[in-house]
Amino acid sequence: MSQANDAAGPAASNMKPVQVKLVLLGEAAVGKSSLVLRFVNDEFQLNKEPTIGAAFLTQKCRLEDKVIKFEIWDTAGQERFHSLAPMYYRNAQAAVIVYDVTKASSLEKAKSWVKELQRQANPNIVIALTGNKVDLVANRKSRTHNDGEVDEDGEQDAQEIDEDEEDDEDYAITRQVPTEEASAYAQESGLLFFETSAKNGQGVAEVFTEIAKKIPLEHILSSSRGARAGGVNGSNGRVDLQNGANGQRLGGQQEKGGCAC
Amino acid sequence: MVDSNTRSPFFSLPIVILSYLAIESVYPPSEFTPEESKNICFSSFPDSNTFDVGDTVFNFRIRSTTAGRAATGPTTDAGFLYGYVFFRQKQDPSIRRGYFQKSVVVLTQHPFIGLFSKIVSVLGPAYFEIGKPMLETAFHDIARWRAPITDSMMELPFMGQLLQVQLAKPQQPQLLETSPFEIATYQPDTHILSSVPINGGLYKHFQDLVPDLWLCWELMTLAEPIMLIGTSPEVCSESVASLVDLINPIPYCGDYRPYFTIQDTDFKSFCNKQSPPSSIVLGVTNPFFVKTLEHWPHIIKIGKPMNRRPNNRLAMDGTVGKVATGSPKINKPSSLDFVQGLVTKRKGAIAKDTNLLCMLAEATANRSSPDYLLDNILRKHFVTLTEKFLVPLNRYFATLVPNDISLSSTLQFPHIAPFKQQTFLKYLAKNPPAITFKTPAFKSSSEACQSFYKDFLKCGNFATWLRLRTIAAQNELRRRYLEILSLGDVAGWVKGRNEVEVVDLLVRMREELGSSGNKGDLFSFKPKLKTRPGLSREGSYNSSYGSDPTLTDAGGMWTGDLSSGFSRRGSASGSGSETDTRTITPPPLDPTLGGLTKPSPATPTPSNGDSSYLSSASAGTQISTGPKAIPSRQRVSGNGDLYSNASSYNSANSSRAGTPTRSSSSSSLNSGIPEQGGSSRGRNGGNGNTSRETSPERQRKRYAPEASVIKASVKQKEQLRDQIRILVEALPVDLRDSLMASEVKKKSMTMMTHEGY
Repeated sequence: MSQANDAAGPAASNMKPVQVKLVLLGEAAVGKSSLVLRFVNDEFQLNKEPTIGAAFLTQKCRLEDKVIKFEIWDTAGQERFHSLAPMYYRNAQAAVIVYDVTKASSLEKAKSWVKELQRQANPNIVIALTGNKVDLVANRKSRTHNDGEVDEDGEQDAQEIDEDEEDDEDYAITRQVPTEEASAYAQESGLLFFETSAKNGQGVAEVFTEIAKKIPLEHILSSSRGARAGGVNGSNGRVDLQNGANGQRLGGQQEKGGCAC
Repeated sequence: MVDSNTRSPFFSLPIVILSYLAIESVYPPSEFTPEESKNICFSSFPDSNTFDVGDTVFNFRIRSTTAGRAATGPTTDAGFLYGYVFFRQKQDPSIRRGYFQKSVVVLTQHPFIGLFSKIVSVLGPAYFEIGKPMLETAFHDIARWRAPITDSMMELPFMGQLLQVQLAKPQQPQLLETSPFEIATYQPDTHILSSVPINGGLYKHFQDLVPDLWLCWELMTLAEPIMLIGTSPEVCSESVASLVDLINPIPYCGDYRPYFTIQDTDFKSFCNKQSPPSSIVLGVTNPFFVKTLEHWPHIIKIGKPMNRRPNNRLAMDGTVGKVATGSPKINKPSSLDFVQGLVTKRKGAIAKDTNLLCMLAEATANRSSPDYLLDNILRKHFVTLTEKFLVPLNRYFATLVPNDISLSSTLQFPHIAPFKQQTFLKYLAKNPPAITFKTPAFKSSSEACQSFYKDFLKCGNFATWLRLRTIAAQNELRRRYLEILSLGDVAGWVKGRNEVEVVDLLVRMREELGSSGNKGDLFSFKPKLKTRPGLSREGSYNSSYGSDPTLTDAGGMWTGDLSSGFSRRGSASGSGSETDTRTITPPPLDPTLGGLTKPSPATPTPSNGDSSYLSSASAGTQISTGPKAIPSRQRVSGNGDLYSNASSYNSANSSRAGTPTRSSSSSSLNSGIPEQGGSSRGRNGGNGNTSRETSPERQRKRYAPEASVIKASVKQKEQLRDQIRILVEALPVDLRDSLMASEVKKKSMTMMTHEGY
């Protein structure tokens, strides 16, 4: 599990890392930035300020005999930044879609992201659905009966566990998204599925390890070489500013000659 | 006293949205003076009606009057602001005028055309699609970038793309060959050379004028005033940037305006009947300038890339440009359909490279290579030409720089001899550059060469070059000087030296410790470790003493013996791990250090000149090493100075021995010795040589006023302390005492000065 979290060791450092563009998407305040911070710096910060646009972080991981450099675009969850998302998931090889297990609506938002990615992103993109904040519901079994209503008792119990560390007081500290439900959805949509806690680190590294395992690294390596060679030899290597600047970039639909990067 | 090195937020810059020549919004909110607003507005829109519907990216350079917005300092960039514009014009029947016309402008202090053109070309369309959140995002993306590191590759994330950027140093030509990118995998879209327009500007805009480029190079090298008329802001701004880049690494001394409009607040100062400023490149698009500035000596006309004539003029020989310029058509300002070319009275002195011309013509015809590669080939040729041109200048300059610095020869701060033009020209005649000069106008190519260099020596670029070169050489000298002082074989040198020489070297070393040396100890020479309480007070107590700092007051570590006190410390003890308690035994120089510097063979035996100089100076030797040393001949009063303090030192010392004081400052104040001032350089006064009086700082200033004074590094200071210890060791005991006395005196002086603030 922690394999992916190791920084590239000395033995691996002389290898050229495989660059993987990874985007985090999800509703505001589900813990996207916290997840990344846990993964990259092994830190946790309560009440993290909302992200503007997107933050960029990198993390090198070793997987078997390869070094992977995750280029992580941690997007803003706030709705006003929604329309920027295509810039970030364009050409991404992986996406982590995060929801909050204590907030049912965040899974709905996650599902809409999945749809958008399946429609507009790189067709081979590896998507991981991740339910975050399981620490808040750590002592309870997932509930299947309740799908969105606030459970008064549950809130009190949760507060006993997490007295003053609650992220958002509007949230009822009860599980609103049963593991089974999300897991079933992930399976039918062909997504990786995880439950994590950015706060205590549970499951975080696993998300990235499993993504790394699923991504066709050899393909990325060879196609990136191909794309670069094509950039020099093909089409005169011209990149016309005016074409590049006419807004098509945001569409996210066109692919550069089928290459993922 | 600490090198704070606080960097300004390099990349934080306002992004301005303009709509119909008016500022619509600015993010983050910023104020502009009326002049700035006017310049930004007019420079961000096409200046003439030649622009078609579509998008364009261009840049401008305007004067900034708001404090702190533009770069400051002695460079040519000071006071200027660079704007990178994405302009969109499209038909829109819903708008009264029928056209949508808006610009997104990124304002910055930096002439990084490659980087910021890329930024606006991504940001512009995204902004028009998404709106305000885009500005916020872009701004925050940029603000999160690390502080710039020139000459290394930076990965700059921007709106979903990871840009790999090599930031150019000033005057550094950027070629693919010297960049961190591999040519085989180069991607012009995300691999960015900061000073090169995307896909290259020189080939893009000058491909039809390649035969004229040698003459353009001459004009730029000689800092001649040039008006460049382009058919669009993109063409003229990128062309001007390419011209300025053409002569790197010669520093272009003049002003340049990639895109200058008739509304610019500087319009009147450039556009009048007088002769043009001596060095300027003015990029314009408005045909009005053609008439107004037709008296300018050099005019370049460049068409839009797509509107160029289809027939391949490049394949012809170099006379084509001339023929074109001879055409009477050019002088008709009304004609927008102008002929490209260079109009100048200057006769080219440098021969074109016909091989290069043929190769480019062929590549252009075949479309076999991407433009950025052709651009790179072309730029490389001119970088090489510039470097060849500079060879004689650099070689001659090297003869002006003293190259043997040793412990003895540094008795005065080494300085650089003046550049003598006549001498240089003689040198040039014997060592001509590897450039082929054309001969028609001259009897011989060497005459042509002499004439070209003579012109160069008269122009501002030469002055700028000489200034920068001098600064670099001074810094280099200074580095070597510090290296010799801190690593030279002092133990060997000191043998057979007289006291005055030793003291002189001591003083110079002490001077390099600068203000940090004032923090308490006597030449790092501490009887009774009396400054240690001060040290612990500073919070940098060193555990290598092996005891709690509070114990020192109990005297546990005090030996009461001079000889035990050689402990390295001082401000440099912040580096902690290196500090340890030393014994009196002069440690041999670390062999690893010794290997770094080889003292020149002259070191052990001073020349006769040296010793006579020393003996005459000895009478005036004063021990005072404040960083603000003042030459003070009047204070020279013989050796008395050196010794008179001994008693007061002793009294101070004994009082301290009796009652250890925590604060070294109070104890030094107790000594009550008035300032004796005087520079170590002051002794030169005794020699009657006033030119020697100047402190190193002052000397540096004389040659290169803005030279940054290189200070000894923490490590070097540690090494200097070691060196000083060795020297002090070599002195007779009474002299040591007086040295310490003067140190106490100096400390008290420093403390008083500090309190005076």
